[in-house]
Amino acid sequence: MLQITNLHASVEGTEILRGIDLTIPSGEVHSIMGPNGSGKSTLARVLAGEETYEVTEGSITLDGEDLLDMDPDERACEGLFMAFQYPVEIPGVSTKYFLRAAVNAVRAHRELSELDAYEFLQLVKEKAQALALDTSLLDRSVNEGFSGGEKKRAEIFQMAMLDPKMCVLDETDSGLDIDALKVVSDGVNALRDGNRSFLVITHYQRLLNYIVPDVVHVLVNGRIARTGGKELAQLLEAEGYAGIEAESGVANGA
Amino acid sequence: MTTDTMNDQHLFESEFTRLVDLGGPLAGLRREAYDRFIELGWPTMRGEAYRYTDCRPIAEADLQLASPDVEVAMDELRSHLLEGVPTHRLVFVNGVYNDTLSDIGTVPGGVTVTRLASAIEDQEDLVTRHLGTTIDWKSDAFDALNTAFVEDGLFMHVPAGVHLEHPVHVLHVTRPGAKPIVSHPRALIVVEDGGRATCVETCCGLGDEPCLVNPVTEIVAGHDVHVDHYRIVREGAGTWHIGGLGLIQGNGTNVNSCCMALDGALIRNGMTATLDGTDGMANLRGLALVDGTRHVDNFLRVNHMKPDCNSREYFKHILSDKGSTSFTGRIYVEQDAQKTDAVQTNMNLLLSEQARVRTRPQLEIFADDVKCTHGATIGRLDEQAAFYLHARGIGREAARSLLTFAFANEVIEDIELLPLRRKMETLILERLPHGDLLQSMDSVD
Ligand SMILES: Nc1ncnc2c1ncn2[C@@H]1O[C@H](COP(=O)(O)OP(=O)(O)O)[C@@H](O)[C@H]1O
Ligand SMILES: [Mg+2]
Repeated sequence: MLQITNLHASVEGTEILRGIDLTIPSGEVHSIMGPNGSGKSTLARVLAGEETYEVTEGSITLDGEDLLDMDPDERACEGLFMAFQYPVEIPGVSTKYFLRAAVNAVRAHRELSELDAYEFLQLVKEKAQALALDTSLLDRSVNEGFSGGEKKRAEIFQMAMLDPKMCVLDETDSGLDIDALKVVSDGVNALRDGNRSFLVITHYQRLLNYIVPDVVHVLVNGRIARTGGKELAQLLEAEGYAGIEAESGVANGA
Repeated sequence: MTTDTMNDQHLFESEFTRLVDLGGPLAGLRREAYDRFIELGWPTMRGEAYRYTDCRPIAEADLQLASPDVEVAMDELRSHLLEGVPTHRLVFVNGVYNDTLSDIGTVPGGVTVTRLASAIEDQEDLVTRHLGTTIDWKSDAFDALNTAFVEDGLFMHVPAGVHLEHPVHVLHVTRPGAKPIVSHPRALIVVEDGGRATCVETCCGLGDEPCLVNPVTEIVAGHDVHVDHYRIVREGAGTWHIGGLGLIQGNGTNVNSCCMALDGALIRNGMTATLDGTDGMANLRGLALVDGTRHVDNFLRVNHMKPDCNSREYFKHILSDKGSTSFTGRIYVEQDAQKTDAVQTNMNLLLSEQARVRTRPQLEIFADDVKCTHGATIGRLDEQAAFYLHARGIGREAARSLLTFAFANEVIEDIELLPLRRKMETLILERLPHGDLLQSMDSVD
């Protein structure tokens, strides 16, 4: 599904991703863990196509297609979805209106018919219910005045609406209490269908109790320092990142 | 002042003589206003009021009053009509009333909706009592010029306690020709105590040759009145539109006026609101879409004469290409006008490097217990927001247009007259790249 090869990316001349290799087969859940500042969000944003980050080397393909060659909207249409760590508030743009435009853009690309207002609202109802999301939020401007938890749930809701094949979740657990965490995890797990792949980025192991990964990668200072099974997450929880940081030879942020 | 401009004023004189020879109840006012215009001359950028509006091209054009025999077909006006709501429609072509295109329909008992030319004869008292009382034509050359040439336009009168259900829609159609023409449409709206009315003015151009459109609208609102007024400016590319609005309002009266400056070479929107009763609210709003080399000048004055009134000025400008705007919001608070609450907002969205913005709040406060705030912002599109939309599958340009629309929408989202709100949404979207992708907003609500 997703193949990242020797990916280097920098921002304003500073290299942040320093050679990442990562392959996520179809239907698998991979997790990236790592200390703050190790480049997790940068990787997510590079995948989504943000232009502030310059890819200086390497390649990314999605089902064999060159992702780096696509604009962010094309990537979304091809089935990539990135749930933002910090979803931006967009005053004046109604969530429903925006989402319908997005859903129909993606559907048009996949040669599916446009959803009319009724079909769209049916879909909204169904997906919102699954995430225990108050649909009155959707009449508000995108993310405006949403609580931290509402923002995160709204991201997963959008993910469900857009029906992607590759989901990237950037610290979707941060700022969630345990109940919200369960709701969000249930929402994500409901989307696991054996074909769809996930890249779950998190600082803490806690989320991985609910969304159980097939593979865990540890990102340190822009490189994957270690890869293992879900037990690696537990190890990190117990021992912290210091050991791996020392082992990889570079203190993060230095 | 150059010899050229003097010549222009002499040219107006022959036309003026023709008009003043008609006599009638307004002959004296016309004469006085004409003399005043000659004294004032065309405004220059050295003066305070027109510092940011360059009137030289107007002064240098060999303007003449349009001839009355210009043909316009209904089809040419279709895109300007309000759909889905009955209206009382008056159409003026180059300042001249067009009976065929107009459709005033029936108005409730006691209400008058008619041509000003008829009202000057039939309702002389009302016209002479109110005409010219809401604007400062003695200090503004264009208002003086309009008053000197006052001849026709809208007259409406809503008696006490009457609610005029359907909007009055006035279309000022300009069809310019080889020679630059000028028209001076006037509207006088009088709403007595407890009355309620809505008036939409559309100024539309059917041609891009240079010309001057100089409309003045006056609203005289008694006590406990509610008036909604809109002006949509969609002039031709060569039109200088110098618009004036004067309003005076009594106790407990609420007036909303919104100006949408969309098309034209130069658009000046001069508004003067006088809160002459207690507990009133003057709500002035405006949106300007400024591309090409267009200049839009919003020049406002709010006079708080009595206590406990609110005023709101909320103006948004969207600039691209080499567009430029200026905003002047003057708030005057009389010594008596305690507990005045005045808020002034001017927000500018810059979409190009070459666009220019000038904004100046001006406060003259003689009362001590007042709240006057002003805020001006100049910003660009939020790139993080654009990326967010883009990353959800919306095209780059469409994402930017959606954000631009959202900025504009805050001016119009409270418009109660739904067909008008929808029309404005469409007019804005049409002017944005890939705006068509963003249509059908209503179907999601
Ligand atoms: N847009 C940016 N401009 C400048 N520096 C950035 C930017 N984005 C990320 N960085 C830097 O890159 C490093 C990695 O950041 P990030 O990817 O957000 O880490 P993480 O998500 O793992 O906490 C940090 O040192 C951060 O300061
Ligand atoms: Mg991060």
